[in-house]
Amino acid sequence: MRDWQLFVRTHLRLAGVKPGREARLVSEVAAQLDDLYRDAILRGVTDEEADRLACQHVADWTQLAADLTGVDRAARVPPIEQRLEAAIDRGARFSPVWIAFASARQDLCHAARALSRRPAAAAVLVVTLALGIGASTAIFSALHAALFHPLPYAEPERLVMARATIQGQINPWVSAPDFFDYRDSSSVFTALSAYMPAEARATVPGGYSAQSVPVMEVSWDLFRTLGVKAVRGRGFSRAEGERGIPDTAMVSYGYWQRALGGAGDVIGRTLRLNYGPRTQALTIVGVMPEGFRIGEAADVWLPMQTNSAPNQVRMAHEWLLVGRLKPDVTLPQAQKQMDTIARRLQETYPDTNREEALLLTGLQEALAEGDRPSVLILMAAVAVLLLTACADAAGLLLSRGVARQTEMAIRSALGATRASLVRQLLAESVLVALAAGGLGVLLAFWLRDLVLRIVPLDSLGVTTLPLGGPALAFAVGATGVTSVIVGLVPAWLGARASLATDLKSGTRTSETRGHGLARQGLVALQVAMSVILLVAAALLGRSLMQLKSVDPGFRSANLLTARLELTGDAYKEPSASVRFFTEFVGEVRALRGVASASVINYLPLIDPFSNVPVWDVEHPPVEGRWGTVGFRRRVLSGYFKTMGIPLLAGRDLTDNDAAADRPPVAVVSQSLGRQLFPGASPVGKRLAIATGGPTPIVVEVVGVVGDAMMVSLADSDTPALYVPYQATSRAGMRLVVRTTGNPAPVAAAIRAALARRDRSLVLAEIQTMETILADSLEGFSLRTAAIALFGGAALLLAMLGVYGVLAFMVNARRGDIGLRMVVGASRAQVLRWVMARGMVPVAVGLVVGLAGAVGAGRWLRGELFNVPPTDGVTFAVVAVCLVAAAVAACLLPAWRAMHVDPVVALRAE
Amino acid sequence: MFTREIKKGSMELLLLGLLEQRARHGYEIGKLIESRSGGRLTYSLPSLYPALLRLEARGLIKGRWVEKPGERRRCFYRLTTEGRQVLERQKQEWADHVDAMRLVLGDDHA
Repeated sequence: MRDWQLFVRTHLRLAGVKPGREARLVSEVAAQLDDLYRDAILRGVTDEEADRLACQHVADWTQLAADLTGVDRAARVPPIEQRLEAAIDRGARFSPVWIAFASARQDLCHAARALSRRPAAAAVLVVTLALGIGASTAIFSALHAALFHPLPYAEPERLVMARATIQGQINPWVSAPDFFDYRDSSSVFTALSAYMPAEARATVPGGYSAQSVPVMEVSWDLFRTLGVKAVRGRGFSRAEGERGIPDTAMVSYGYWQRALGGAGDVIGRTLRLNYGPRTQALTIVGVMPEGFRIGEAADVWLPMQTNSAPNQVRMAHEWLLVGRLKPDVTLPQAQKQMDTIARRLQETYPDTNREEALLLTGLQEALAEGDRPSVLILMAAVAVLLLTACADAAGLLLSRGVARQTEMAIRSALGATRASLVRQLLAESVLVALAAGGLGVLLAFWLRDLVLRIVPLDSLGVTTLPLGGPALAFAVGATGVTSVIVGLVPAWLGARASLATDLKSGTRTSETRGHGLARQGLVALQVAMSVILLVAAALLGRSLMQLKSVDPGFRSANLLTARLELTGDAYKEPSASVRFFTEFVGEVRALRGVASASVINYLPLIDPFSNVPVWDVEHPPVEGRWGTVGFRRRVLSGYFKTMGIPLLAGRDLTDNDAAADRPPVAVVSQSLGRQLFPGASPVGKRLAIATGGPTPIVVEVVGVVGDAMMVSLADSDTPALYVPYQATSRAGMRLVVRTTGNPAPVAAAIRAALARRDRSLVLAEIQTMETILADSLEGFSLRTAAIALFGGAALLLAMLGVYGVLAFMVNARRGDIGLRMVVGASRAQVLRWVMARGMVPVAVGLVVGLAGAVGAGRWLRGELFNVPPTDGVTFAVVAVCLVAAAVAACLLPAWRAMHVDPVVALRAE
Repeated sequence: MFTREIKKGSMELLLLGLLEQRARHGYEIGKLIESRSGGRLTYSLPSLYPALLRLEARGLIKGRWVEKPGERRRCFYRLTTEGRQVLERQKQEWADHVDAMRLVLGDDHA
């Protein structure tokens, strides 16, 4: 018996029918022919005759195929008219709204079917766009939090931060006496309050191990100024800030829960703290709300003592000020008054307030200042990436549009208006965008933690990015814009398919001039966008490399640091802390694995504090000016050796330098020496250090050391002077220890040594200098990595675009290529022809992208380090890489074109 | 026998009517039409099968592949709810149409 399946398959040519559907149609026709044959046999017809009957049953296979595919095409897209017809058959009535809704539904259903026919392509589209939408939504929520999210204080728009400026540069800390003067002479604030931003730590004595808690001193009315009430108890009273020694405290919600067990009777309890050189018994008067913070997080707040000795020193810049403007006062008005007061203070206190002023900034703006550029850069980068993804998706849809020209032509021949065709094609992009938007929001949930790692917004009190209304609105907006960008061009061009040309062209899918230009334009756009991102990433990457290769001025390898605060009554006398540190450092030096050790009050890169005016005694600064400002550091002997800071001239400080009968001495950094004593050796010279009084301290320079970075690796200038620690004792110091090998066991040994001396002391912030260096670059590294990632993704998308356009063109132009080869074109000529076509949009995109990158580079200028924004090498490298990638993307289609068989190609025509 | 137009116009009703009682496969439908009409009405596969597919595309019938023991896999068509409604309507229309024609042409012609 004949294989009817095979018979039908060879006769029934079903064009444009999905394989699964085709199999069904073939099987069913085969089954019926088989039935015919068997029936005939049953009637007693001979085998040959039965076979002939069945074979001849279908007289016109072409007609049958046309009928079946016609039905099939209609089945794929049941037009709304047919459904309406069926419903009218049933006697139903329709409102225009129902019809509109039904046609929208039908457009979407049709779009879903059209997409599901090529699930892989649809998935690529959706995932590409979802990544773009998700990343931009997550970053937008950070941007929103940084710029608009109201601070968790009452009426935050009226809060301002007041920061000191010296010589026009922000040097935010204000001295307590200045604070009192500004507070008492101004009339623009309902209140002006202060807090001490430096992270201070206290230890809670007791048991075998002391606990370290972060403490912050605040003026008694700070919480009132911020408009935040205690959840338990009350805030500080004015009198509690005038006792000379604090005897009350407020605690954070977290500390209450963690350390005090959330006790109901917490108010009135006594908290014993070793804070500063004394042990204090503090009465807890209040618990602040959960999550409350201003500046650094603290667990215990103490009232600033207005009459304590340190708070009478006008040179001690230690406070940050927060003011609440009166309702009818604007920021410029308030600033004007601050300027007037600053001038008066300059005149009244020339020894301390020369060139000093107070700058008012909105609190939100001031707190977000450090994060805003990075968030904006990320936002811009992700927007560019999203645009690239949109262009990619548009290109994909466009190529499918070309493949469906015949379908469109038939539809318009059957009476579909252009608007309805546009609607139908747009429905596909809407569906893709909707799916991508949904997936994008899910992605954003997951990405937001990552974003917070790149741009930590702790200072704004943002610990988690809320994906609330604004972020979701952004996601919806991004989805909408995406669907329009992705869909409009393909839909418009797709629906323009002209009946005459497209039906005439038969089965061959040809690209119209408009299509070709649009696709090439989209590819050029993608290339341009990726060039911009790549250049930005490369500029930042080069900056990062430059920063990493910066010599910090000390050797960071095998260098261990820790913070040690001498707290409690035992260290009330300054001589006690001097003795302690001298002896303890001696003990540490004797530990196994320790090469050398010392202490410093402020460690490079971590503590950018204490810069004081200094001058050559022979050349005092002119009236009203300071001249040079240098970082004053207090060290024990052996600091330079431990840090690996080279001694360039003179000698190191020794333990004897602090003896009472010796003249005060100092070691200066090379850059300070050069600034103060240009052209001469500073050794033996005398320099003056402003103290706030009429007579400065005069010290003799005994040595010159190399420059060490003080604030960050991007420091251009690091004038520093080092004086013996013993000259003025301090209770909190940083221990620096150079180890001979792995620092980890040494840290444990130091801790044990400390416990042997005094169990109530805590060795805090133990970290290696290498960690400190890496941490100082972490934000920059992550940001650069993120932008490089975006750039890589954009490049990939652009190259897929280049490949897609070219592959499509080669496929559509096989006939042309074949003809060229027949009339004598060599393979090399075909290769050149194809490559030229592929590289045109790349070249256009490259030129546009490089021009855009010049702008982007200028915009990034503030972020760059030792790299000009229009760095020729960077631009050239990016251009070369991009061209190389584009050539690679062109090669496969070009190879295919070279191997077109002219005979086959022409026959297909 | 009958003209192409009459056959074509009545095919939809015939197909729906034959599926009213139970699901049938394509060949069975063709045979039934032939046998019940006493051989006066015949539809070949090329006209019958696209018609079935059209009805299916309009949602009036639904085809399902069934494998019975000892038989080949066949596609059985059954009436959908919508198809049933359309069938009722068309039957009524057809009856009205025949009545109207009978009235116009008189009993002796009808």
